[in-house]
Amino acid sequence: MQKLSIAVITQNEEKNIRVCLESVRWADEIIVVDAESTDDTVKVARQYTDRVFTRQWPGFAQQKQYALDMCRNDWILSLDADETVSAKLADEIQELLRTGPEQDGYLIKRRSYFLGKWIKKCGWYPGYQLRLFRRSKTKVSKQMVHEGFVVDGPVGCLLFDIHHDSHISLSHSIAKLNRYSSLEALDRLARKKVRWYHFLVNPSSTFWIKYISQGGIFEGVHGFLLCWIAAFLKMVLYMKIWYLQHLNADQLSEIKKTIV
Amino acid sequence: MSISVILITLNEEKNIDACLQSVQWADEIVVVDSFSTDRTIEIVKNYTDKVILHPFDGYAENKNLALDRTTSEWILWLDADERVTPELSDEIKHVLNKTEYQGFEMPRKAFFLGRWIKHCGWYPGYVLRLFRKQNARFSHNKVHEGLILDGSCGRLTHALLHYTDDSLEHYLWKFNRYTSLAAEELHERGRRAGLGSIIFRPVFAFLKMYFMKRGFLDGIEGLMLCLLSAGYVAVKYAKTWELGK
Repeated sequence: MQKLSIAVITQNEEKNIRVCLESVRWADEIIVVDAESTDDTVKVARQYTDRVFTRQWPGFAQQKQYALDMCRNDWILSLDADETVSAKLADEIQELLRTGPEQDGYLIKRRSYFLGKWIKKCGWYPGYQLRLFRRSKTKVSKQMVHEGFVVDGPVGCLLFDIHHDSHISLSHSIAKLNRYSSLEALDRLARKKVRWYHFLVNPSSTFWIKYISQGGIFEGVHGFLLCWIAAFLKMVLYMKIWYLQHLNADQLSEIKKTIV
Repeated sequence: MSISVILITLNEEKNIDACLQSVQWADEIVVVDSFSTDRTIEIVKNYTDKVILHPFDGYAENKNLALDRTTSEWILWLDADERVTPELSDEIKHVLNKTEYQGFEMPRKAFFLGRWIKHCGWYPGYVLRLFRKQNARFSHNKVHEGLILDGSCGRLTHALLHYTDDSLEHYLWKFNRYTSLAAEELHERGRRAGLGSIIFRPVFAFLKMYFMKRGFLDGIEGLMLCLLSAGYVAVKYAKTWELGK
């Protein structure tokens, strides 16, 4: 019989954290590391566990590592605040830990929702994530923007899903797209010079790859919008790079200040 | 003939100084500020002591509030990102000396990423900004507030300058906000949108703006503006669909 710790890192997640923690009440221990939320995240989290830690945001990998360090059990399930463990997955994990896991880490399928619909295409599903692992064999990889764990040992797969619903509206998507493209544009500034046809060609190819090759077309309006937003992001990105490439050094340093 | 300038502001420290500078000649300036957290109010106080702090209740409400505090017969309504040129100032002072009209529209030169957009349907883009106080009121409409003028309207020849979008971040921020408001309005009027609207309306919008309104003459900025405007239409209908689903 192995004991399980749940590791969650949060920042202003009061809308999501309750369902998240509710779905893992059965676990032996829940660790929440909160990056100084200004909403009720911590208050809600305390209803589920005493082990809530507040810590200034040091970057993704560092915060996740800290959460792992706080866990007392050797088996850890790492969750995001906008994810929940399905009842079947909960049974599967409990059964696995009861009988003794043969592997050191397990990949779990993730069922992601866009505007309320489970998206199976566009590379979204199964979208295996390494989330259940033996702590003594696992490291957080430092390079990635999104979370990554590296297990030193054999890795298996589980059958059932994590549900991932960030309750994103189109307004959220556009706001995220705006912010992300600004950061990305600064990164790509020094690369090849942007021409007018990049605004047309690059987004079109993004759209068709996602919509046809990756099957967005089978997801109705949701699939169309998903691919459209990815293409629009590309277009905005190239426009922002073009704009930055046409500024002089002073204007550029001024802009860098406002974006970072 | 006396004239009052009215403005509503929220965090406009970047624009407000140049804007007020351009209308210093007016008899009175009235500003309704929705609790700016930047230096806006401090800057405004260099030009006028008629600053009213009031929460943002909607464009029309706040503008009417500003209107109510004015004491002149004629009103010039400006946005913080607009400037009145010396030529326009002279023209305004000149026409107000003797006129039968109740209001005046003027052309507006709008700048996108620093370039004056002469086509795309943006110019002359007459705007009604000068009017007799007793004959006008701002009406409710979520995105583009309307001024209702009771009486006849003349035209000025010199243009107002509009420094609209100096960055794409700002453009998209506004884009996001306005498409939400426009979608809510369509939704409230009982309109529903599907994939057809989301796909085809932007295409028509682009063709109209880029070819019929000759946006291609505005260079690469014109192309960007037409593409983004088509995106605006798509997102507006996508958000309408989102509300209706």
